[in-house]
Amino acid sequence: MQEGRRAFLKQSAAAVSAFAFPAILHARNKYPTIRVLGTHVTLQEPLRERAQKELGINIEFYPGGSAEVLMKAITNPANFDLYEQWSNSTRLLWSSGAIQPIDVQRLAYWKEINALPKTGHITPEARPGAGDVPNKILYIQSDGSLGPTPTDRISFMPYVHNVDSFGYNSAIIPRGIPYETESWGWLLDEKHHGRVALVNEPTIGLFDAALAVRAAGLLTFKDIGNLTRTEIDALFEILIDYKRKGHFRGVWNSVPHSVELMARGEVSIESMFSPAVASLNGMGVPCIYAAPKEGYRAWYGVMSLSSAAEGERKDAAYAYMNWWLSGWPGAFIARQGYYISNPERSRPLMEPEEWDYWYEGKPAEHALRGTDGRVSVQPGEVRAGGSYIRRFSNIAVWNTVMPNFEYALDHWNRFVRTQPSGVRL
Amino acid sequence: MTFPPLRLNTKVYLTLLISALLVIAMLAFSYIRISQISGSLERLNELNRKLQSFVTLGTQIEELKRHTLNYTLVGDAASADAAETIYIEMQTQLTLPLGGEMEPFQPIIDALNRHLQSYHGDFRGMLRERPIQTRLRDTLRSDAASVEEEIERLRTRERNAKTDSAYLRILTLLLRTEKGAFRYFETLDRSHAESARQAIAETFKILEALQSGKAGGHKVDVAALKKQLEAYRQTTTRVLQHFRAYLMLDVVMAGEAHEMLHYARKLREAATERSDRVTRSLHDLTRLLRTTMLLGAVTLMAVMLLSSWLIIRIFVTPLREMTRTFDALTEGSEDVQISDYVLDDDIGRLTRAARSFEEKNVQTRHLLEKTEALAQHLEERVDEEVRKQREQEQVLIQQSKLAAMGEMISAIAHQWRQPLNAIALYLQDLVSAERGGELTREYLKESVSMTMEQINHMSRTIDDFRHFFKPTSEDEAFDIEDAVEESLQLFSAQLKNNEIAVNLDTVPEADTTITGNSNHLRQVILNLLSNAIDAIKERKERQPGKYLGQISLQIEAMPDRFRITVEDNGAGIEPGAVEHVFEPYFTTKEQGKGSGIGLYMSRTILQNYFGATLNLIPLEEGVRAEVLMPRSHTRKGKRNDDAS
Repeated sequence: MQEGRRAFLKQSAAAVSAFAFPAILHARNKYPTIRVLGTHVTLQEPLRERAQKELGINIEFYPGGSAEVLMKAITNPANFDLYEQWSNSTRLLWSSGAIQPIDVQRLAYWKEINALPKTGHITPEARPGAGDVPNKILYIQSDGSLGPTPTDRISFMPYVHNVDSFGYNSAIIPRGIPYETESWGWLLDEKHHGRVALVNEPTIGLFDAALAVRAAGLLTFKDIGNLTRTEIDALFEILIDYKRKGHFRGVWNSVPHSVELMARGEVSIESMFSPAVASLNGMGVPCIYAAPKEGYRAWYGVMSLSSAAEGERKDAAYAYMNWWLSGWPGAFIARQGYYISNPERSRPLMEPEEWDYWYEGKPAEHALRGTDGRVSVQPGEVRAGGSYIRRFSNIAVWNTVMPNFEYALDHWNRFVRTQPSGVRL
Repeated sequence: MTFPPLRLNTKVYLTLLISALLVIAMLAFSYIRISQISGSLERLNELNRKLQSFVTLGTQIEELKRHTLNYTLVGDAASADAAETIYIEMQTQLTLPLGGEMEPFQPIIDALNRHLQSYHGDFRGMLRERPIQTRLRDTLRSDAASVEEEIERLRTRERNAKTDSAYLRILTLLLRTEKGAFRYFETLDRSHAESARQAIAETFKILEALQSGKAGGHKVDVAALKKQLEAYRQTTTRVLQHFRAYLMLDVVMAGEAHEMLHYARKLREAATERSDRVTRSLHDLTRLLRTTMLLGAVTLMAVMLLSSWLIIRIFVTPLREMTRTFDALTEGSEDVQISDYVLDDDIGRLTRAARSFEEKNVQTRHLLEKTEALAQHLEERVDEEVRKQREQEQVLIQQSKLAAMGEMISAIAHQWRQPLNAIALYLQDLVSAERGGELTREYLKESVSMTMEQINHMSRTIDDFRHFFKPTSEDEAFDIEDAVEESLQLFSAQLKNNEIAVNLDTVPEADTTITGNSNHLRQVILNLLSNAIDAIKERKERQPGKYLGQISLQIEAMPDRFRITVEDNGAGIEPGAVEHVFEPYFTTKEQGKGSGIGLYMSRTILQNYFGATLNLIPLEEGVRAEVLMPRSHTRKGKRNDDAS
C-alpha cells in the first residue's frame, strides 16, 4: 500500500514537473495548442469545439474546482496558457507571478467592454458593492500592483459575469417579492431549519453567510467586503451555533450537488448559481432565484494569461480571448443566464426575445431554449431580479479574498466540519 | 348431517382424506409461515450485517478525515496510506450489490459514494500538492541561502562598516521573511505573511540604497543580488499562495467529508429504521406463527375430534349396533331393536340385512316348528313305514318260505315219485303174483322188503327235507360246502329227471367254514339252483333234443371272503331285465312258475345276515349268479327268524 502511494507521489511529482495535468491522450495536429485551466462554468465543450473550428487552433480544457485550479495555476504557470475563474483569484495569481499582464491593445473588443469591470459601476448611479470590485484589481499599476487606475496592461480580460443569490423552492417557501421581501435573512429563518445549504467556498459562501447574518439583524459589519477578525469571530460564532443546532443541512461543492440537494428535497433554500436554477426548473422543481433586497453577491469572470505563455501559444491565447468577446460565446452563455462584458456584440446573435428576457428583464415572448436545446424559459416568465442593469445596480458585495482570508478560512473550515449536536457518527 | 349414498369404505377414505387435507393445509400454512419467518430472519441477518457495516461508515469517515488532515498539515506518509486504505475499504463496501431490503438505500449509498469519490479525488490532489508545498518551502530556504551567499560574496569583496550594516540588515530581514512565512504556515495568521512581504520590500529598498550609494560609501553592484532577491520574493509569494489554495482544497474536502457523514448518518438511520421494521414484522410474524400454531393445534384437535366423532357416528356406532343386532339375531332373537338407519350405504344394507335376518328368524322359527311337527310326523311315518316294511318283509319272507316250501314239496314230489311208482308196482305185482299164484311167502317177503326199502327211502327223504330247514335260529359255524352240497342233494331228483349235469367245484383243502344261520344260505342256494333248473328247463322247451343242461357250482376261498358262483347254461336273461331282477315280484318266468321274490329275498338275506353281495351276470349262454361273502361279518341285527 505504502509503495503504491509512494509510486503515485513519485508519478505525481514527475507530472508536476512536466505538466501538472493528466497526460493528453488525443492526437495533436500541427496547429498551436493552448491549455485552458478553469471551472465548468466557462470550460464547456460546445465552446471549445466552436473556438477550435473558428480559430484553427487546438484547445485543451482542464476543468476543476476553484481551489484546485487556483492551486495548479499558482504552483506552476508553465502548466497552463489561459486561466479562467473568478476575479477573487486574481490577486493570488498576480502576486505569485503566475500570470502576466494582458496588453489591451491586443484585445480587439476592449473598447466594447462596458463600464462595469472598468469602473466598478454598471451605471454611474449604481452602487458599486463591497469587496473586490473588478476595476480595483483590473489595471496593473506602474508599481506592479493592481489598482483601479486605467492602464494599458490589465491582469485579466473581463468577460463572463453575473450576480448570485440564493434559490428557494416555491413549493415549500412562499414566493417573495424581488428586492422587497426576498432577503438573505431567509437563510437563517427557523422555518427552514435543517433545510439550508451554503456554497462551500470561503470567498463566496462566507459572504452569503455574512449577508444572511446581517439581514437577520444578528450582526453589523463595518465593511462586509473586508471583515475584521472580531467580526469574523462573531460571524462564525453564530454560524457554528446554527450548524450545531442543525439549521444547516450542509455545504455544497458543485453546481450538480446543489441541484441534487434541492431536487431530492433535502434543502428548500440554499446558495445558488444560475445554472442550478435553470436545471431545477427543467426538472420541474419550482426554484426561484431570489433578488434579495440587501443586494446580490456579484462575481466577475476573469481570463488571465499565464506568465509562462509566450510566442505562438501567447498569440493563440490572445486569439482565444478575442474570440470570447466576438459575439457568439456571449450569446451562448447568455442562454445559461450569464452576461458577457460586451453584450452589444452578442445581441445580434440572439433573438430579440432572448435579449429582452436575459438582458432587459422583460417577460419571455415565447418559450426560450437553453444551450442544451431544451426549453429553459416558459412564455411570460420574467427573469428574477429584472434586467442586467437593475441586477448589477444592486450589488451588496463582490466575491472577495479579504485581507483576513486565512483567518476566515480557518473559521470556515471549522464551520464546515461542525456536526449537529447529538448526532452520532 | 346428510351424506350421499356412498360405500362405507368410500366414506372412511373420504373422512380420512378430508382430515389429511386439513392437516396438510395446516402444515403447509405453518410451513409457509415458518419459511416467511426464516426468510425474514435471513433478511434481518443480512440487513444487520450490512447495517453494521453502515454503522461503522461514520467512524470510517472520521478516521479518513483524521488521517487526511494529518497528512495535509504534517505530511505524514503513514496517514496517507491509512487514508487510502480506508478509502478502498469504504469504496468496496459502497459498491457491493445490495438487493432485497437494502434496495431503497441505493440512492443514499450512491450519494455517499459520489462524495467519497470527490473526497478521494481531492485527496489525490492533496497528495500531488503536498510535495509541491514541501518543495516550495525547500526552494524558499535555498533561495534565502543563495541570497545570503551573494551578500557574503559582496561583503568579502568590498567591506566597510556602512555596507556591512546594510548587509546585516538584509540578513535580518531575510530571517524575518522566512520566519514570517513559516509562522504563517503554522498559525494561518496573515500578519506573518504580511510581515514576510514587508521584510522583502524593505530588503529591496536597502538594495536600492546600496546600488545608489545612499546607504553610505560607494555604489555597490547589487544586480545579481536583486535578481536573486526577486526570485526569493516570488518563491515566498508562491509558497504562501499555494498554501492558501492548499487550505482551500482542505475546505473542499471538509465539505465532502461533511456530506459523507451526512449520508452515512442517513444510511444508518434508514437502515436502523428498516431493521426495526423488519424486527417488528418478524415479531408480528412470530406472534402470527404462535397464533397460527395454536389455532392450528386447536383446529387439528377439532378436526381429529370431528373425524373421530364422524367415524364413531358414521361407522363405529352403526357397526356396534349392527354387531349387537346380529349377535341377537344369531341368537335367534325376533324382537331385537334395529336402528332406523335409512341411508343407502353399506350400513344401510346391513340394517336391511338385519331386518331381513329378523324376518328370517321369524320364518325360521315357524319353519322349525313346522319341521319339528313334520319330523314328529315323519318319525311316525317312518315307524309306520318300517313297520309296514317289516310286515312286507314278513310277508315276503313268508312268501319266500312258502315258495321254498313249494320248492321242497316239489322236490319231495320228485323224490317220492319214483319210490311211489315202485311201491305201486310192487303192490300191483303182488296182486298179479297172487293172481298168478306166484305169491309166495318168500315172494311176499321180498316184495314187502322191497316196498319197505322204498318207504324207508321216502322216509329218509322227509328227514332230509326236515333237516334242510332245521328249526334253528342260532348262528353257528357251518361249512359252506356242506350247505351247498345239501342244497344240491335236495334237487338231485329234479336234476336227474331233467337230465341236468351238475359240476361242483370245491376247495377241499381250504377252510370254508363261516359263522351264521346255515338255513339262510341254503335258502339262497336253493333259490339260485331252482332258478338255474327253471332256466335250463325253459331252454329245453325251446330247444328240445339238442341241448344238455348244465349247472356249475364253484366255491372259492379268498383271503378275506368266499365266492360262490352258480352258473347255468339256461335260457339266460334279457339284457333289459337284469336291472330289475332284484326287485320284489319281478320274474321272467311264465305265469304261475315264479313268485318274483326269490332273488329279492336272496339278496336281502345275504345282505342282512352275511354282509354278502349277490350279483347276476348274464352270460352268452345262461346266467352266472355270484355271491361274495366276507369271512367275518357282524349281523345288522338279530331279527326274528321266521325261517323256523
